[in-house]
Amino acid sequence: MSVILEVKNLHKSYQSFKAVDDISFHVNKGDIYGFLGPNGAGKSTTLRMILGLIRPDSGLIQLDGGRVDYQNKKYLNQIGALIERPDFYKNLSAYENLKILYRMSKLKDIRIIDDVLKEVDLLERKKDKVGGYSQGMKQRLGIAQALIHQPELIILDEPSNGLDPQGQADMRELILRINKERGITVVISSHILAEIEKISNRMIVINKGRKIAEGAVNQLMSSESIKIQIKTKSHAEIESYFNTHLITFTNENESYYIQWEEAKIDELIKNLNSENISLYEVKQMKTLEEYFLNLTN
Amino acid sequence: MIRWLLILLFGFSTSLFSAQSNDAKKRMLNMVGKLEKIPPYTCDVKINIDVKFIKIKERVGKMIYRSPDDIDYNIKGFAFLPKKEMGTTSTSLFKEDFIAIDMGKENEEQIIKVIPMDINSEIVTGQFWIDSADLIQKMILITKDKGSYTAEMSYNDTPFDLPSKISMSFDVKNQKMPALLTGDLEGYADEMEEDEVSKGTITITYSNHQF
Amino acid sequence: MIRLINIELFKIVKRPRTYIGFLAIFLIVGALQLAMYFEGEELISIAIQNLENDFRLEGKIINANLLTYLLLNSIIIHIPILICLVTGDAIAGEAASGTLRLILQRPFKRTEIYIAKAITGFLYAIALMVFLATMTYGLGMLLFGSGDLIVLRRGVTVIASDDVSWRFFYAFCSGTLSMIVVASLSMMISSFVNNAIGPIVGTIAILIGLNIIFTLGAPIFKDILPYVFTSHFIKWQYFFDFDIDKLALQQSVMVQFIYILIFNLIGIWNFSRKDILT
Repeated sequence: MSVILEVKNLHKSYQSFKAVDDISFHVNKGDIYGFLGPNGAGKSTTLRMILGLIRPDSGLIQLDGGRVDYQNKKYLNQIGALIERPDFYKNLSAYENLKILYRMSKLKDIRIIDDVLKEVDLLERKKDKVGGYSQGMKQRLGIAQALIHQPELIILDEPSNGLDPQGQADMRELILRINKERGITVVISSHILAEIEKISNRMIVINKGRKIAEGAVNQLMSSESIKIQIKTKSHAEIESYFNTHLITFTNENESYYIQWEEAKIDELIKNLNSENISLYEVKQMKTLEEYFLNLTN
Repeated sequence: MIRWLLILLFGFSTSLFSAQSNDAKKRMLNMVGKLEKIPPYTCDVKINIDVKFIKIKERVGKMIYRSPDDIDYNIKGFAFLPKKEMGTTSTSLFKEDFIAIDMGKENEEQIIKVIPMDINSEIVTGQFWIDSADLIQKMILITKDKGSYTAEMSYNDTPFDLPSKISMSFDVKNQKMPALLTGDLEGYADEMEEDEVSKGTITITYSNHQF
Repeated sequence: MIRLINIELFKIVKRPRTYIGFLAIFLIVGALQLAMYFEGEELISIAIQNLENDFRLEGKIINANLLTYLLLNSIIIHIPILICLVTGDAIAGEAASGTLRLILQRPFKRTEIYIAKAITGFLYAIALMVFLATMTYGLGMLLFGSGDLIVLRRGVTVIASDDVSWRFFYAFCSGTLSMIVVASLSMMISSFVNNAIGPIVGTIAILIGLNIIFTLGAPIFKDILPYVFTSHFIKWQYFFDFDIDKLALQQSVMVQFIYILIFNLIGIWNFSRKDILT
């Protein structure tokens, strides 16, 4: 499976506040990749950095193997996005809004506008001013503007915001359709676990700007996979171990947190001891779901 | 004896003086008579202004003369013209009785001072420089409340001895207008002195007279 | 770049706010000219009463040329306000409404986007000035006809009607350059804030503040006055002098071009680096 988007060690601070603290993840082609975190976790900031709306303090972003260069915006030809709310020129019609974006793309065939409007079920309302659209219609138009230039990857930041349950269901169906039928990779962020769980195949969980977990959704959501708290004074050694064995961890107040299968905890402790990493506490926390629900409650 | 001599001398000089006044008055009346004989005419005019704060190019047009008191101009565009009073002023001097005093000669021109007898006259006094051909070369009029005017004439064989050029000089007060009205926000107005009076001259050249 | 400019022009043409400027000019010009039509003689006689004491004034004072000259003075405050309504909104307004995010996700450098917006703003300023000129002169000709222009600046200057057209052309060019400085300033401020009101109020405050300071004519400011851009907003009046000070005008053009460059460079620099959080 080839990687379409790779983010490495991304950092962003606003004065003393760390909005994004060493986040790394990768998205494979064809994924519907969930970006999960409570409000204020750093999801939007991370996504805006990918799109060049915000400059990272440090880190690397690669798209299709090529490093993203903020000076040369050509990479944006490959990405479509709907960040936060779907904002448009309210005094213009849906068609006129999309026509502006069409003219900013490399496309030559203007019929694409009608195609994407049809895709999002707005063709009949294309001449109506966006100012008169409902929230659901605006969200769908938001998807349309992300698709207009036929990107390989689309990033959707909380696309179900403000939608009723039917609207949310319609949105999920639309995302699944564009992923399956058009082969477009989707990164979808949300603060609602259920939403991510329903359509994503892989996901990352972040909180307070840091990665908590990353991997296949079914694995992460499995009750076999729990969160463990490890306390040790051998910080350098344990971090080296985790990095060598590609174990995703976070640390807070001298404690390390990892996602681990409950059945394999003993084996882990044994391995750590054999590396002369002295542990003075290993505590079983909650499943990822319980952990995340705690965060969002 | 000496007393008689003195009386004789005084009487002689008085009569001489009155003889001279009579001559001067006769000459002035002659001039006025000539003026009244001029028939209505039109002519081409060129008007130039020389005033410290006025900038305007030469103006051309026509003058319509009906009588000394009735002169009209038809100028292309905007023009600064001498006030009507200046034209009529000199003739109003002679409407009522007046005293004319021979002031002697200057450069072969006779200088005659005219004092109107009418106490209500606008003009306090006028002085005329007249050449041997009975042409007024220069005149200065001092008015009660409009300052003084000086007019210098030039001639070149125009019928009825009409001047070919008149230069009128008079006192002009500097204009200082509020910047709000003029849009001049660069403070130039501050450089001008309030109430400064300078000399202004209007020169009118006449040609192509049609009677 | 042409594509981006066309897009910006399309957006401006479609926005109702764009037409406020034209409507305002229509009303200002119409109101002033009608006022002059009915009350102009009285107003003018106040201005020239001293002249009338010493001269007989022959000819039409109130004419299309005089009205055009008087209305050109509106570029000091009125026209800049109208320009700011559009150019101040160029970046900050889009940031506030969220559409800035929309266009910055497209494959165009921020510099290109800024320049396209700036050029569009300049074109708007030019359009307003052309409209001002046409409206003023056209309505003036209709109501008053032509005539010599009497300029009550540095004394009294009378310019023949056939000597006026080229002066007005250059005067409007000079005025337009000044308005492009205003457009550049408001766009620069627009790049720093995320609400549409800030650049408009900020630009007007700067213009009015500088005008007040320098109109008061404090001696300490006299040396820096030639380098302050607001002092050049009335340089168009120099075209109506008998002896035109070409050097002063050249310096004025140069100073204003430098300001346009500086304002735009600062705006581009800031816009290229700023984080888009809205």
